[in-house]
Amino acid sequence: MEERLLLLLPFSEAAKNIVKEQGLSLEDLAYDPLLRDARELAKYKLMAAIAGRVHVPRYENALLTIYSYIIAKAVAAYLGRFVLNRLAEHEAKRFMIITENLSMDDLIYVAKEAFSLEVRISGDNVVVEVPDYLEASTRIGGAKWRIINRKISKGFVQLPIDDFRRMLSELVRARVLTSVPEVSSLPKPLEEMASQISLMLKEKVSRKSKRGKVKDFPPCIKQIMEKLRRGENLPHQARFALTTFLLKVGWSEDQIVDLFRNSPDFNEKIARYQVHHIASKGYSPPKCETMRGWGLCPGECGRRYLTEGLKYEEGSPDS
Amino acid sequence: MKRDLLIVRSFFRKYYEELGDTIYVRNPSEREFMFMTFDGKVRRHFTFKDAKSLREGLVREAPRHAYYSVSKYRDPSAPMEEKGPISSDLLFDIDATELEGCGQEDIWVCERCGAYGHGDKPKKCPKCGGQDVKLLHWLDEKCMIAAKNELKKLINLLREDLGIKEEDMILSYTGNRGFHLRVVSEKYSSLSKDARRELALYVIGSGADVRLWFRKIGALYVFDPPSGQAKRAMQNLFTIKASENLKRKVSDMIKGKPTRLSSRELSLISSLISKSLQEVSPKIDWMVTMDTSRFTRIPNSLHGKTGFRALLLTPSDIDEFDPFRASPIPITEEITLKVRYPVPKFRIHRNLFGPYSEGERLSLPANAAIFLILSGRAEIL
Ligand SMILES: [Zn+2]
Repeated sequence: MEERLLLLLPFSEAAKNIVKEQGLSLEDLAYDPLLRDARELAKYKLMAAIAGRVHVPRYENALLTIYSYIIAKAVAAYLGRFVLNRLAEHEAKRFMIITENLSMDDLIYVAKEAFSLEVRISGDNVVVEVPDYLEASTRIGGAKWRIINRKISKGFVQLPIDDFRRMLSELVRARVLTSVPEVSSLPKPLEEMASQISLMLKEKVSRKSKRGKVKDFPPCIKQIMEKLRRGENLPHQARFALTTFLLKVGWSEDQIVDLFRNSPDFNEKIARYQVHHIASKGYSPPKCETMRGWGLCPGECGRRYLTEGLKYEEGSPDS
Repeated sequence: MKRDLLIVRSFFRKYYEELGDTIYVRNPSEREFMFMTFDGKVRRHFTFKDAKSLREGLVREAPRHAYYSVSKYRDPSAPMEEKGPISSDLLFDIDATELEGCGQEDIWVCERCGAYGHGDKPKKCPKCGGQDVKLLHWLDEKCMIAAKNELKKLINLLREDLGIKEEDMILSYTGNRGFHLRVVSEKYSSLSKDARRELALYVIGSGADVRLWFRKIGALYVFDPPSGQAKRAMQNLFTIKASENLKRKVSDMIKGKPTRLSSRELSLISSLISKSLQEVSPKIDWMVTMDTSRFTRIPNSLHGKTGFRALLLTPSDIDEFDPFRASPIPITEEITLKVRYPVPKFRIHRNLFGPYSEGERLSLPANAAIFLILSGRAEIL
């Protein structure tokens, strides 16, 4: 693979093979004085990830990118799911930034090489197989991502190139979160890096807000909260549903903003503005049918609307 | 076990002894099986190493219901968390119970005093106040035609929109009021739960944003249907009640002509399309599709509420398929019955039976008799 494309794909098989050829262990990555830049870059990435920014250095080469990725992932794995989710979000956003001017041919090469996608071009669009599309699109909110609103026929979806990039970035995110190594201890220099990140994290995540009555919330809301707790990125609709619901059951704007601090792309100013906007407009929580349409309903729960009572109605699911 | 059920069970066993070689399951050693016995017990977390031992198992146990898992597992007999899923067929479920106009012959019955009636099942028996009120379904020919229609819509959607080949679809009649369709292609078998849900929502026509189906060129609108679902919803608009003017515009738009629409017309057309979409969408139970821990009946096994065979079908069979002709248990020796609750007219093969009223005594061939016993409407004398 060409070096400039390897830069995009530090998690690919090609990247792994390069690491294997060099024969470097995590010990080497932690101590080798020649790899100081890779450690620095890993640290910056993690810091940016926690802060909800993206770190793209002015100069990178393939080895630097690959090593820094391996180090960052090991440290994130050591620190737990929350930091991993942040790193995944960071890598997905980084992918969007550095592929912005990539040619169609290069993008397709990347899709084949890194994600084994069967892809072809049709006019200005990229054509992908429905199952591949679905694995990425379910994690993206918005009507245009639902296949009913997409050009789909005979098992293929046609995507404008920017949507195709967005789809790939979701696969990047998923890739960071799969085959996570079991890291129970780190070499000394990396352990120090981990404790710096962890300190930063503590400052970032504020005290826990009061969460009365959560156990009575409907499953869709609980699921959104659980995803937020794990630091997963939420589609816009999920944020909207959660905010309207929590306002309805009496949470304050501050409490809700605090909850969103776990969000990988948290920006206090924007979050405050959005929560306040929803509160001042007095929007109602979405109906079940709407939640279903947004792909946010985990299953039948016997409740008609989110606003109707906080208790389950008993009912048999099957006759 | 009640005497009636013991007798029915012996007929089931006889069926498995004589016609068991029609029982076939793909990759049995990777599937989990579930049997429900005639005394109401559920046995699961077991497997069969091949088709032969599956057939022997069915003869040995003669279960009332016999199922196999949608998923394949590394260790199908292990507890759920340790099974190790390999892949899962993509399952669609069509249940006639949910269709409009179905269930008209269903009755509720009181087990205590024998009272019965049509309509919704009361919480308590209106006659004696007893709590033991059951719903007795009735397999209705009309409903099965409606269900077949939904199945055809589903097959068409899977083929046209999703490119799924017919040889990758395993269709089966449930033996009662529904159909199952399993997609077994490799690409679809490895879909995640989330992706299955997304797909199921597509099938039922959820998530549509009709505004995205139109392109605006200056003051004109062009209907540019993205998906097959969108196209079918629009085409179905021909059947709507609307002004001639609006109908003409709809027809122009279907032909792809840029058309002038007032904002009122646009929103009217959008809401009509949404309704139309519900009509053209196959009525599947979307929750079933997203659940990879489901089971369906073992092909050609017997359904314990009808005695009908859960027959394997091919898409070209559907039009001709007549459950009352093809599915009844192929046993015809006479059984003498007493009718417990009214029996509507019904048909087994070409023979018409009924209607019968409560208390009537009669002698029927086993296929019809078992149907009535398992439907809860008659008992063996
Ligand atoms: Zn009674």
